[in-house]
Amino acid sequence: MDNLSYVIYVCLTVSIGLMLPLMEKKTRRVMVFMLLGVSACLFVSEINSILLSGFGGDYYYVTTNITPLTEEIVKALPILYYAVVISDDRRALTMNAFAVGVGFAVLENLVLLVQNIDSVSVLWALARGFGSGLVHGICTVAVGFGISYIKKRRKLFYCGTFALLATAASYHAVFNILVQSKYQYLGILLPVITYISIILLAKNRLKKRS
Amino acid sequence: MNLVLSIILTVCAAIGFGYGLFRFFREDEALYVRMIVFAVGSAMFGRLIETLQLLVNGQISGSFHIGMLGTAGSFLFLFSANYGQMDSLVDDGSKQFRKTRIIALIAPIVMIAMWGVLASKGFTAKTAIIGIETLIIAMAAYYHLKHIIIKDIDFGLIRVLRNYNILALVYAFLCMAEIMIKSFHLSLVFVIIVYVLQCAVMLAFVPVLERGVNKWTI
Amino acid sequence: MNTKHLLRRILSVLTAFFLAAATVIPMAVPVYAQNSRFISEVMLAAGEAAAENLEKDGWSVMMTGLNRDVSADRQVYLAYKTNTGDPITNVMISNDAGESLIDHNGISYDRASETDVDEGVGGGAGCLYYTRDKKAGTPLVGFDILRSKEEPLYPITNDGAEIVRTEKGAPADLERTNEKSVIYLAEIRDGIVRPYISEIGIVSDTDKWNAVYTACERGYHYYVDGDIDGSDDTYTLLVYKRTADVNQAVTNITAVSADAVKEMEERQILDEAAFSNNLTGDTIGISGIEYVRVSKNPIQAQKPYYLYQTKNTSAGNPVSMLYKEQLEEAQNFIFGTWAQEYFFSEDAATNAAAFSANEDLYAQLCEDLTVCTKLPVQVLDSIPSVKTAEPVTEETTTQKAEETIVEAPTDSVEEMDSIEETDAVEETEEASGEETETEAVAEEITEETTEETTVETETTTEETKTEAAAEEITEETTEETTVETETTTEETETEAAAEEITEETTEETTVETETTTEATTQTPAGEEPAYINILMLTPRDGLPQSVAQITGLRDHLSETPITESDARSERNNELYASVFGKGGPALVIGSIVIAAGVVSAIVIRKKKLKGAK
Repeated sequence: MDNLSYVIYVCLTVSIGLMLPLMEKKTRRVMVFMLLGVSACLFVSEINSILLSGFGGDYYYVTTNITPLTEEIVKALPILYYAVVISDDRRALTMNAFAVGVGFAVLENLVLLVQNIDSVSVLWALARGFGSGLVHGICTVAVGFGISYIKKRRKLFYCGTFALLATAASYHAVFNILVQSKYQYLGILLPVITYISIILLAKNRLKKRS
Repeated sequence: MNLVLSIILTVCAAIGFGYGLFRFFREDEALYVRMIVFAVGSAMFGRLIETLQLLVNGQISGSFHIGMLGTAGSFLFLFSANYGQMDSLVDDGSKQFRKTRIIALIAPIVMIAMWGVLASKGFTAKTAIIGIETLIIAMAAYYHLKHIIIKDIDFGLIRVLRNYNILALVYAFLCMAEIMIKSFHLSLVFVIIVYVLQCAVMLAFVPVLERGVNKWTI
Repeated sequence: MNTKHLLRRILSVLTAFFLAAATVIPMAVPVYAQNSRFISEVMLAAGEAAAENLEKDGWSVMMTGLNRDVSADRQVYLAYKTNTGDPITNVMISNDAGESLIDHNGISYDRASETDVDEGVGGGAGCLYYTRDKKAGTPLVGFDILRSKEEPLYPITNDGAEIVRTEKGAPADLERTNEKSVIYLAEIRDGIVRPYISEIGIVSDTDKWNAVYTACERGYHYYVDGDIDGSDDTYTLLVYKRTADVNQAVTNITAVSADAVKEMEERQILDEAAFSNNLTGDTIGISGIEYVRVSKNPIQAQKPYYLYQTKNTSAGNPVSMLYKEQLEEAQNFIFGTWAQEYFFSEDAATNAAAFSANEDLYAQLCEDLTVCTKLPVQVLDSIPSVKTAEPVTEETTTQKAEETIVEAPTDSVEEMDSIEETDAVEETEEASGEETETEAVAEEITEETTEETTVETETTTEETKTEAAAEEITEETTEETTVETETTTEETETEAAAEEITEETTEETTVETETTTEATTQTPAGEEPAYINILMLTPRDGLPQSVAQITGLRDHLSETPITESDARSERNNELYASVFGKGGPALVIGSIVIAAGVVSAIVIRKKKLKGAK
């Protein structure tokens, strides 16, 4: 069936959307950003297919050089909007950014699951869940976290945002190259190690502050 | 050989980045130094991508590869740090510093001239993309040169970072040299020299910055 | 907000968008380096005075005339203009046509001048015709005059210049009346730097000059100097075409012995990709990749072989050069016969030396490369004796085909099927198996086939504890007496299963040939791959020197070697990297949402700032 991604999208968003009025403000905000991440994934998938045809169907080149950039830019848009219009509170931006990344990863994994239903397994699911989920989350968090620092400083904002996006896209590209090579499992370990390091660093700082 | 050089450079950049994280991210530090550490990190990611592409594919193909974003991001961070944070502390825009501002243009002009030599060989997509990268490097180089030559009397914050700015300027020229060497397919000897110097710069970046920052009394 | 601030903001935003757009747009619309000058008009001038008059009118005149040994007032000069209009894409010489002609490709040509190209020596070679039709090729950027007296002048220059032809496709000799000397006019196209080989061919003739001439007539512009068959009777030339498009590049060339091809055809050993029987050796599979035969007739070397080529990117990296025998590094990029005189427009004069340095060619070749390597062309002699694909249509004729499949009960997932077609009267089969106490499972298959007599096959299986998978095939063939085949399989405790299959067939006296191949495409133990005296220059070092394995005959799905899109998407892609949509409203809706977001952000910011003031 064509456009199964739209079917999955509707199933996901309608269910979660119905839940939103019952949530508390903070939780609702995070879920809204997660839904935005899901929507971003759908939007980016169409852009990716146009780019793929533009680059002569060179799947490998597009996924290692182009899609990291497009995905990071599109994922950053809701965060940028929130930072510019609503609030640049660091904690809120970080949570929302992670939610966008996770929402993106959820739809991406589901679409890949149904497109390759014959070749998936629990191991595959674990690899995608940890790998893709963390990569998208970490990259968006990096952008959101960085924006919280530079947003107030006008001179920093534009170039700094570009620099953050470039770094996030580079990290994402590293992951994409690794998972499409024989070093697949190194590609999955990379975001796990990064995530653990960030958690430890954050905990360390919280300890010192308290 | 390129793969070996790339691996060594990636490792050196990773060491520099790791040391920067260890030194400047455990406690609250100025955003300026953190941005410079991010610059090293961005450069590290760019080099890592090149290393992986050489390792996996044996070559780096296409006019554009995302490793270029690593270098571009690195210099954007350096540019943002200098322009957004430090420049306003020493240059209030008055006529007093006009001479300094003009002299500092030498760095970006030289870089754009280097790109011009490349463009004269034939304007292609790759030349255009290198041009954008050159522009970003040139923007960063302008402020590095400016902060080297400017008279920092008031706060002395930039005066103590002179060594760091010299290193950063050298790094900018090394990146341009690398682009030119690869574009003109010069001898491997030049590639080795440039890579070795870049490794030294990556390793020295954060320690030199740290030495300057430690002299900040404000 | 003051004006300066606002302008800075606008400039920053514009710069940001420009950077983003400038990064993406050039990638979507690739710009190829092109020579900015092209020939737009051509003219022939008879006599020096006419040439001077043309120069006064703004024409550029080639200093070398088209005819030999004539005085200046009788000499014919070629004049041209550049960039005055649409580019000329091809010229030809004909003495059969009037104001215009249509060539064998249906392209229309106009006469450049009524002057014959050899008017200085009496005329008769014909007039110069030109076309601007894009189907004729890329724009011309220059001309070249090649001369030789008494020494052979080959109509292929090996430097990318194309000899101007007659309307029938043969190279046009400007001095047709003089049998002892040859003058060719060559045209140089934009895009002369063509780093990749797009097609190879074989031309055989009694002597070299004829072979080169035939190759030129067939449209080849490059050849590998040297007789590749080594025989005294024929001169066999390896010829090729070049391209600047890496997607059209040949990625591997392999030789297959004529005997192996014949046997495959007779026994109809089919690749998994084949759809039907009755295939020929025109297309075969080697290690699962489709290869197309270069010539109908085998190259008559000591052991005749066919050359096969492929453009599949899984087979290797684009081939940039071909060499006969080992050459010194210094000879890498120096090509064959060079133009004697070489002129562009006066403002941008270049000469043969600039092109002979091949700076740009080298740059093109090495732009994306880490290192070049020369790979020898392998000769494949063994055909798969066990692994044969089942035909799609079942043949039930008992005269010719009998299938025997014997499977021993095993725990292993592997099964051995073998199908042999013979004209034998009798076939007997024996299968026996052994199992040992080790973890692996034993499997024995015995097959016997006879042509005129009995074929006995025995299979024994042994299990050993080794780490590597190994497969041994021993073949002995007989024609008149007993054919015995023994198959032994070895299995190991490790993940890979080992099998030994021994087939013995005997001739009048017993002739035993043993070939050992591994189950994978790794270099087999105990056997050196054979090579012919041709080397390929490819851009990647360390390409595994694995022995390719013939997998069978294939359906010829296309007339020319298939250009495969990058197969890397199928390699190691189990985890995938990105999602791709199939067209839907998300793009439009998303764009509208983003636009609305941008507008609302600007509006809200302005309101906030107003409120703050």
